[in-house]
Amino acid sequence: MNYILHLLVYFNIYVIVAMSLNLVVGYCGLLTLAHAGFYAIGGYTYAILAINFGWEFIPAALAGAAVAAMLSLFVSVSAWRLKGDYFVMVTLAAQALIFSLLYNWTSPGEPLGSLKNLTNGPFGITGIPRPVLFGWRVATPAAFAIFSTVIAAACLFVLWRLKTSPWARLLLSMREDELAARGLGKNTRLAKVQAFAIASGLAAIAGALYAAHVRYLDPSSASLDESILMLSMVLVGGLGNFRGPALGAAILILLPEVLRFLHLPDAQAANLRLLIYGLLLVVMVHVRPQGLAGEYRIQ
Amino acid sequence: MLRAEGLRKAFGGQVVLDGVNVELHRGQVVLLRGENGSGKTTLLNILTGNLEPDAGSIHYLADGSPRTYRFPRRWWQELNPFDHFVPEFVAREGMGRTWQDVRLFGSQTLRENITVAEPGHPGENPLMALIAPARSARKEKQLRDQADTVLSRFGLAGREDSSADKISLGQSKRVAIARAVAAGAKILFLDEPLAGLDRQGIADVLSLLKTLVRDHTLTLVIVEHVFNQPHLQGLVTTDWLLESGKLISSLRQGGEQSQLDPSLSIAHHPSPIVSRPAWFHLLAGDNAEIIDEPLTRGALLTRIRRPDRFKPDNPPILEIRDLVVKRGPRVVIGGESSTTGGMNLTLQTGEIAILQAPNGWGKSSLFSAICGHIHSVGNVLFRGQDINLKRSWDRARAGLVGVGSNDALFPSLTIRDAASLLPSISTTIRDQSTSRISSLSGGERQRAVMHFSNTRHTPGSSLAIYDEPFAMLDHAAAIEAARQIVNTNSSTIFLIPSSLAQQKETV
Repeated sequence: MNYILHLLVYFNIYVIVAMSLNLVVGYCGLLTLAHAGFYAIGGYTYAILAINFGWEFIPAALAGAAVAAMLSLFVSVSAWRLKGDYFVMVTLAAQALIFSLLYNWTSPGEPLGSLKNLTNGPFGITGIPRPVLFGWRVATPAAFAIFSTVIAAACLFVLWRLKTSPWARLLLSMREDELAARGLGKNTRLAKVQAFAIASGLAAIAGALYAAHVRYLDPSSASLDESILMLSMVLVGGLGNFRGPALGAAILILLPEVLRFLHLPDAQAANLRLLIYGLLLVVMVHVRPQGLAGEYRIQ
Repeated sequence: MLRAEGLRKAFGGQVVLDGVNVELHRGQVVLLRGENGSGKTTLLNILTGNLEPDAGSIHYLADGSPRTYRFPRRWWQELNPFDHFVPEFVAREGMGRTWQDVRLFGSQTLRENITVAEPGHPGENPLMALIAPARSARKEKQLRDQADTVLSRFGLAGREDSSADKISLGQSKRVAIARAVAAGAKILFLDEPLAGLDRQGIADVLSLLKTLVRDHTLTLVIVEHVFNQPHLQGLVTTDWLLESGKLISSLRQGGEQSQLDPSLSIAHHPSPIVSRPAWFHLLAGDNAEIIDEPLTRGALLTRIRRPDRFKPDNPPILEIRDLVVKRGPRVVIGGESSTTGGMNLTLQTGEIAILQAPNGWGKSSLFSAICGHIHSVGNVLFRGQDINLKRSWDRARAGLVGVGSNDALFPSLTIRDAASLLPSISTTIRDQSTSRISSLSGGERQRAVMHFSNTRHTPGSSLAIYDEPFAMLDHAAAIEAARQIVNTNSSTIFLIPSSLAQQKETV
């Protein structure tokens, strides 16, 4: 039972991540590899605020979202001029920068969260407290599953409102023909900044949820592999609509679990799983380049 | 409403604009003329904020609060992101523009294409969309009603929910104009609004422009191809002529000529020889047998059989049987009704064939299908062999030379590099051999395409197909292109020009 609840929490976390990433990749048409960086920033902010200052979940997660939204400016401002491959390179650089900051902002002997040892480096942060909500501690797995579902629902509600707003239409117009949109007087640069800030903020909330669930956080949350996993969810599920990323998140979370039940020989299991996973992705890209439930095909 | 002084622009040492002064007043309709490469598009791009000039100043006075840009810009002006010379800020000063290739938002409906243009929509602020969705929805409802009114006034009632990539070119040009007006344009820059349209399309766009000038006192600046310029008579009040970097402005004796150009009312008759453009006469030469053959949906295939090229016992070189071409879900060629199958067409070796068809007939799709760029169903026999399952490069090696319209170049190569891919190159284009292809004007590019294609013909029984070979060429350049086409090694030539209705230039 706990296993199922654990999967549900994971699904909730990655649904937020995939949907927020869809805002940038699917609606703006900008491929980013920095998403895991902002996700990890949310996790770290929550962890440090909760351990050092005893903050509750919601203010700490919102603080993480604010930090991530601020830092997303580095990526979104470069999207003013860059497009396509060059923009991907910038996001890759941003991702590497965040990862190495989290990995290296440490010095032995100093207390965690101080200016000299903000992140505890490669050792990670242990003993992250369970989330506190208005004085009530979310302790049991079932309570946490419900809690994460509520948070995810709130995030999806925000995204749904945005998706049905004229703002989303502006993003779609920009994706289709940025020059024409600018010719109509649309400030597409501002729209990019907004989209990145919102997407990064939501990813940070998902990161805080992850930190509170696993109760341990190390820089691997900000790794390139993690970014690619997030991007795969969006690409497999489908871009530019609401159900696609949710489907992608469900598939990519369940796939390794299903492969676990294949009783592969232990020595090769991990490699074989990766092989099957890679093969599925290649087939997917060939057979349905727009994703399983997508509307838009990234160029 | 707009004043610009001393505009200068050079591309890599080549001065395009050299001290251009511009003044625009309310209700003026300007026709911007000039040779190929004289900088018409450059001037348009500068005035709409798409391109920064090297020197000069522009004053936008259409709006309540005038705004001035001086060039060259200082570095500290770039620090303020709200003071950049970019199209979105220029558009807010009341400058609208349309593009030659229309640029509608293809995945959106026509209604959305109009409503998205509304300036200062509260729902375009994500914060407002989150906390006050009702307010945004009210505005949205009002805008949708307005958009429907606009569309029906522009003759597009009932098409509000059509996707913008599923309507005809003439309709999309009208939607693009409506969109620019909805965005609050007071001065509208139109880049070839009549290009590629047939007579009906031209008449529709013209009557729309007249309404805009009369009812909305809009100011228009029109760049138009020389073939279409006569249609604009009666509308234009001022002529701008760009010549060697200078702009000469002259008033027209306007007013009394309120009638449309009389040639518009002539019914679209197939090709009586006098209405044929000059390049046609050059292709036909003397003593040629000319056969007009009507095809489905108003298309006309003209075969020129010159005695020096065509022998009556020649075998067919291209046979198309039951061809059906689809673009997405839409059938473009073939399958007009359930009883008839696909399209049929046969070309004999030695013929020069010209396919004339209205816009949207599928001319470019036919070209792409024969060359193997897109998938099609049916049989395409080239010299007796079915090539429809072959890849495009195999077709090219077999002797099928497809010359696409001017986008088939390598934009970032220099002319010299592009030419070295294809050995022989004519001298007129070698003069500029170090400039990049992307810096050429539309007409120059088309000429480059023609030059490059000449080296691809293999002697003997090959077939050359040209898609829009005379697009963007002026009279002399079109003649030159036709001369080149006749002198190629290919035995058979298949031309698919853009609608002939607009090319009324005669010898």
